[in-house]
Amino acid sequence: MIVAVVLLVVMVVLVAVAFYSLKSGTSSTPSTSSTSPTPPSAAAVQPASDQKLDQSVSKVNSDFSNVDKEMSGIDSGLNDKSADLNY
Amino acid sequence: MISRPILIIDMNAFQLRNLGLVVLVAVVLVFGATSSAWAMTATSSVENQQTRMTNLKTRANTEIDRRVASLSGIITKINANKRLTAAQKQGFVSGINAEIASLTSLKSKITNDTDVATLKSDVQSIVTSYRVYLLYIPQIHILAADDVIGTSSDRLASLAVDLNNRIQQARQAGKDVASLQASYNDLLSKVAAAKTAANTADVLVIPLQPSGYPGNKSQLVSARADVTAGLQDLKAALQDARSIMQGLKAFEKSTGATGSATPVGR
Repeated sequence: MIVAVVLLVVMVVLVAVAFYSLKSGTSSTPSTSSTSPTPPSAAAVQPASDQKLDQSVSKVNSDFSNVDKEMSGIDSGLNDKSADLNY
Repeated sequence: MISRPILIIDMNAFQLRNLGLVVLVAVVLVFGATSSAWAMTATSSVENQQTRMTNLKTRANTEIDRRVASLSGIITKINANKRLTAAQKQGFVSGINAEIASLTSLKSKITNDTDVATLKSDVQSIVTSYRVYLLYIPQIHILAADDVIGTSSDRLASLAVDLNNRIQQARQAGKDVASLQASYNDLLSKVAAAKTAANTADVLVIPLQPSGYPGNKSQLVSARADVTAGLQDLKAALQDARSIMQGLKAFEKSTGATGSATPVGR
């Protein structure tokens, strides 16, 4: 009885070791996707010159906002409505 | 026969005394009531006047504070302006500082005014005697707007150089760049027009003096129209630039293919 239990335990251990070996062997197989880093998409990388152009456009848009602010200041001065100062 | 009239006279005299007493009491009562009402009215009038003076002082001080804050703000704009000479900046800043000092002094005087006539006169002077403010505010904002338009024009001109280089590269690569070239030419034209508009506004506004206000207000209005025109020119120039960029990207996408790319947005 004791011998049978020991054999059973040994068999379970052997099966477990075999299963682990099989599994680790599969996962350690080099794959092209894991060993070689994915190159960044060509579309995601913008040429430096394009970035420069886009930055210029962005700055010009910002200039427009600043001119609009000054226009508000001009209008507030031209149409100054002083507070009611009647007695 | 003789005593009857005397009786009548005695009775009338008695009645007259009573009547006189009644009248006297009535007069006293009426006088007292009137005096009391007059006194109450006078007290109420004084209180109203005090309240109105206090309210007017509050409104006047608020108005002066608003003007001083605005004037202080435009000094910063003057110093940051890249198109004004040092002498022009000095002239504007000293004039504005003098206005701020006058307004600050007026505020103190208004606070200490005790009679209505003086207070009214001082408060009205915020509008009538301190028109410097009404000139400086639009004047300096116009100059600041011109400054931004000038900077933006230079930015777009620099962008145009880069875009033209790319257009020429595309031409050498065999692309049909006719529409891009047209956009480029329009871009240059609009940038030049924006610069002209800003310069025109500067020339109109810089010489204006507070002593000429409100007669010179029409020049402020005219300069404002120039600023608006300059801004519209810049927006059109930017649209040209975007159109060229989209056309060039279309060339890149169709690398290897021949033919022309029609820029989007044209």
